[in-house]
Amino acid sequence: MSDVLARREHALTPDETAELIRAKVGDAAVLGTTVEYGTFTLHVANEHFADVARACRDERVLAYDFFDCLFGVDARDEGFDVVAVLYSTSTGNRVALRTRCPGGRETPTCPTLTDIYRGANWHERETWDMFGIEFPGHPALEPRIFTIETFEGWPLRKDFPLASRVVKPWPGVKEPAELDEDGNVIERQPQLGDAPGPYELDKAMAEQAKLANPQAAVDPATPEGEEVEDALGTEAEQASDSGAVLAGDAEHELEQHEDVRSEARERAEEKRKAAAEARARKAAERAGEGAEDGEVAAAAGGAVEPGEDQFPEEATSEARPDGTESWGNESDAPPVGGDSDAPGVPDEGDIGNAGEPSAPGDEATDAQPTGGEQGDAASTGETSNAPASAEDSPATPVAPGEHMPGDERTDGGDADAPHQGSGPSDDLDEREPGPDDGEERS
Amino acid sequence: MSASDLSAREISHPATAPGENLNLEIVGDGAFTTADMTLSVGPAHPATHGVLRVVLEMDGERVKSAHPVIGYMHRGFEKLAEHRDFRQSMALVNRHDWLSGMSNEIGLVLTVERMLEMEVPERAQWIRMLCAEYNRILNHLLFVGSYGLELGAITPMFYATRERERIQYLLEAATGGRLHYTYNQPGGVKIDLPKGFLQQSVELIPDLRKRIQDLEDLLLGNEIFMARTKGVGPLPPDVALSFGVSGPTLQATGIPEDVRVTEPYLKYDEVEVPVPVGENGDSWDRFYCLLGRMKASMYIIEQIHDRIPSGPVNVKLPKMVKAPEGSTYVRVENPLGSLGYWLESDGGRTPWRLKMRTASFSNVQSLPYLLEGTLVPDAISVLGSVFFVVGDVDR
Repeated sequence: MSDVLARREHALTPDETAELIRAKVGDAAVLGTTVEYGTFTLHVANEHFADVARACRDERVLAYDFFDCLFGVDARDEGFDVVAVLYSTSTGNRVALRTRCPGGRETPTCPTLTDIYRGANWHERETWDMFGIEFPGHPALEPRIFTIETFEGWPLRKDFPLASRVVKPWPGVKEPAELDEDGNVIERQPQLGDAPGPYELDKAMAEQAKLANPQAAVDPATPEGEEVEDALGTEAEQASDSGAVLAGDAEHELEQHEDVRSEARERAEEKRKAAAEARARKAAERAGEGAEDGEVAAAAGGAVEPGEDQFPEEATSEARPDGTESWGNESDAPPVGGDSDAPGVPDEGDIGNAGEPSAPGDEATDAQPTGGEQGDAASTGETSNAPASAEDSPATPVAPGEHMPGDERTDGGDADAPHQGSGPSDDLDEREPGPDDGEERS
Repeated sequence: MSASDLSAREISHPATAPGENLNLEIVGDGAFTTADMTLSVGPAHPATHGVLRVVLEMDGERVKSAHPVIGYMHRGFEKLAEHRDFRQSMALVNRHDWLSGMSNEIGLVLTVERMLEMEVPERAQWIRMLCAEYNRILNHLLFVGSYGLELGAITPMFYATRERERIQYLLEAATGGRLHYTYNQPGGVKIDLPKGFLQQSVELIPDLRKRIQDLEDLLLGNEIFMARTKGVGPLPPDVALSFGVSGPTLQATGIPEDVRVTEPYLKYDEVEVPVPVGENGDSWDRFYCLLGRMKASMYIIEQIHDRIPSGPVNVKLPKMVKAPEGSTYVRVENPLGSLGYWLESDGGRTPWRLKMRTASFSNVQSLPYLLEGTLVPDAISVLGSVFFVVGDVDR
């Protein structure tokens, strides 16, 4: 591994990378670098896009061998950007090569990376399918990879409307962008009249229902509805329990029941009417004096009032920043104190045989396989660098035949016979909530 | 690929092709005139796990070339995400790979949180890890079961389904969902774990260990299974990297690449993450890595049991979640490989661009390479062992 220079400890910084690329490809190739939110972006001149990618792959100290992805981004009036994300398994670095396609919004083109990375093939087909960006030199952009062959337009361009927003008008707020800072609805142009949408339909149906049903329909889930049932139930019970009914006098009993039922119904009816009136009054107050019945109904139906909070503050009221309160989940915490094993420190004896799982970052032992010898890599000509191997990766590789940490916790038994399990699984439904201190492992 | 310099590659017949052991000569071009046949596997073939179509051009039993046809499940998630705010997008991302909803959600919330520079409570991070690892086992169990099914072993599917049921019961208790959890939100998780969850989780792991050992005993050393998978569809590491293959398929080639180790997120830097690696990159190694990843997940879950602190599980969100202007790229280790989200924001409430770099898309792209020169039964063995979800390919 001595000739593999690129290793984690000598991974280049973004500035060094840009400098190296400038030296190898030319000063004009790199337009600038940005590091935002932990993402290193190298802005590349479009005509040097492929050259820079090739340098990234072939330079021994860069060794970007893993092709992560390639995609387009709509850059408004200036056309389209293409971003290719590369990753190095040996240095652990990641770079995003970003380039502005010439040709504006009409004929955007970008050099292809298919000669450099096999994976670029489908990603470029996807980018062409979604944005219409041509990649001269690509083996076959057609047929369209995601959409159907006869599809017209480039779906991910910003000027391509989302079909479900065009087909029919939708009541209320349909885009999050239609709310202002405080969650109020930004007034839209009245488009509802263009075609009868669900809102108009609802109003029409409500009118029809009112005509067909002079009584206001009662939702059984409303408190009034429950009261009706309650009243019926209790009265009926009292009637049967009253003891005045002789055995066998079924007719009398029935009559009595009927009486009780109708009485209860009348009472419930009165209550409901009163409630309905009160509601209508409230709604009328809200809707204003000259409001029609239909609108009153609509207002009472829970339409979103301007100014109403779309995201109530109470939604996350459980999370209070002061740590003084009890969270109710203390019982889930590991047992504290009185235990030789400090919480948070895995017991060495528990983990396994001495020295078996090495901590991340440790040097791997000889027994572990060395994937991707550089001899193979060099002969195939894919990259001039060896990909990450056991020696330079922080991972703890476990090759076939070796023990996975934690394996030894399996009960031994007859290794040849397939294990029959430990009987039928307990039904979790019926299990009582466990004791609070039950988190200790055996 | 014909125009590129990458196509210069010899067709290497697998060493253990049936017939070679019997000293039979497989007659190809030139011996007598045969017409090439085109066989369309899919779009609704059990071996393709969804609506993937693979067109095989064949010379007798030998696959001359394979052309995956994708796009049957394209639902335009990247476009839809541009019309939803960050909390609404959570319901989108747990659907593109429907077997790894938890990892997908974590990928998106990490992206948003990084742009908002939001502090996430410790407990929420541990809960996310716990759920993600259970989700990983769920995902892998399905593939272990179905891969056995494709090779003619029916029992593993039943075993796997039984274990999945118990884990799903646990996750359902915590999140309310069996497949689409929508459990994460920027700043934490929706709600704390229910009482008794950790208790049941602690009790579940030893059982799970035994039963995954059963699955391993059933398949990994099985003579028939080994004959079908050893040496079938080998993938060299440099080719895998060039394709952008990740997850168990990449680990099988011998590269110990795992985002949880190389770019730790959440609290993965505080636990030990064992990474199974293969030797030849063949179907058997891919399957070995899948099983090994389940064991690694159980080992991680046991560490989480010891470490999970108490405290709040989310932070109070502002009325509007608005990512500041800029762009970032976050990778997480999905069950099927590395998942990346490129989030570009113009400062508004919806993403300007949300690129979903999904593991299956890149993995499936390597199929033409893997299938070239195999026999038809081996093609099924390869198709099943390059683990992918079609919704994740098409998005």
